[in-house]
Amino acid sequence: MYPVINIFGFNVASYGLMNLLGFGLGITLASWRAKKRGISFEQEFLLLIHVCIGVIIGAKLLFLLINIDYIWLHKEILFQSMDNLITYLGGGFVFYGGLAGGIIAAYLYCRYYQEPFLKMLEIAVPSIPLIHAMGRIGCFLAGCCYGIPVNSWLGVTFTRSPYAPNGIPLFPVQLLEAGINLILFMVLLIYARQERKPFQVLGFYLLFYSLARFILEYLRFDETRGIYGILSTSQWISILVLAVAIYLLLGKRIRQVPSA
Amino acid sequence: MSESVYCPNCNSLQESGAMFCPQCGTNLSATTEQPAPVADQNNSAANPSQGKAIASLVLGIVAVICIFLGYGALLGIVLAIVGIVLGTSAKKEAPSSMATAGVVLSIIALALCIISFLACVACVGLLFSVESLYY
Repeated sequence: MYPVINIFGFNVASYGLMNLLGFGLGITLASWRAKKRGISFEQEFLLLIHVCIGVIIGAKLLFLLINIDYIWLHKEILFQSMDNLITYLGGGFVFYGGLAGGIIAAYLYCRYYQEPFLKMLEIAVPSIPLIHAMGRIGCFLAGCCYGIPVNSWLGVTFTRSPYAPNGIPLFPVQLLEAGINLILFMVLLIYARQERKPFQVLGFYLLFYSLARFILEYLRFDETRGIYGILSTSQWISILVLAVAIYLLLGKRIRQVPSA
Repeated sequence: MSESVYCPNCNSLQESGAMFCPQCGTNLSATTEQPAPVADQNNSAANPSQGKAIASLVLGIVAVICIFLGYGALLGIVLAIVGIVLGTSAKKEAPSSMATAGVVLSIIALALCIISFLACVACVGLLFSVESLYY
């Protein structure tokens, strides 16, 4: 589609732009919603900026970890020039890595500054699918994270994508995931209107997203998936996340924790 | 028109000369003297946190410059991240406009560096990613 958008004479990558827009919207929304829960805009905003840093590091680390054998195989090309190395470092982020990195960053931040971790985290949960949806639209524009080839009216043919195989009709799995995320975002907004028990909003989100991702993974066709056994890396992680979500929703010990 | 103050307890508007708030009885003279110890506290905590605030501002400025340096944007991302962390720490210890400026500038630099960095990748990275496709 449009991997690069020209804004005022500058070539801006649409993937980066959409992600930035998503993060901007998501953070502003969460900080605005925080006011209703007795947390100031600035307090939540500063936390979420740190969460962003955690997301960037986490998403990148998991990507490198998954592709470590590929990096090893191509180490000559990678370290041959600065261009290749930086190209490799710039592209490729794994969502689950970002999620984990963000939660860890939030925990460390709240511990260090002694702020209510759980409360501030749950305020931000509905923003996650919003950011993710924007990111997936960015994926679609860039042509990465593409779907399986299909021979129906659903297929989208990329012509000048640097990532997707050009000229083959592919299933627009990015848009499907963006749509699912947007629906999840709206459902979570309604669900989180009332104050819920601790970990309920996060558990609700993780439950539905991991289920959706597990199924969507079958529709994806991009190479660097990291297949272990019969499932891809993200599917194995989805199973793990699903277990965590069920524990958060039903675990007795957790439900007794007073809301911090 | 005489000067007026807000009662810190019930938020009602009172004349500044009043000793007690007629609404809730809070001692207004005591509360107006309170800023002194706060200022003291600021002074004692000023040195380390002001250093952090300056560092944050400098890092933010350098990171903004990095946006225009092509691959320097990668360095800019790292600098901006450090700038945000230091600036927030300074802001939490002793709020100052310099710390706020440092945080805001670092955030802007981070956002723009990420965009320009990824843009670089999209332009230069064409060859490499096509190659990786046939891996």
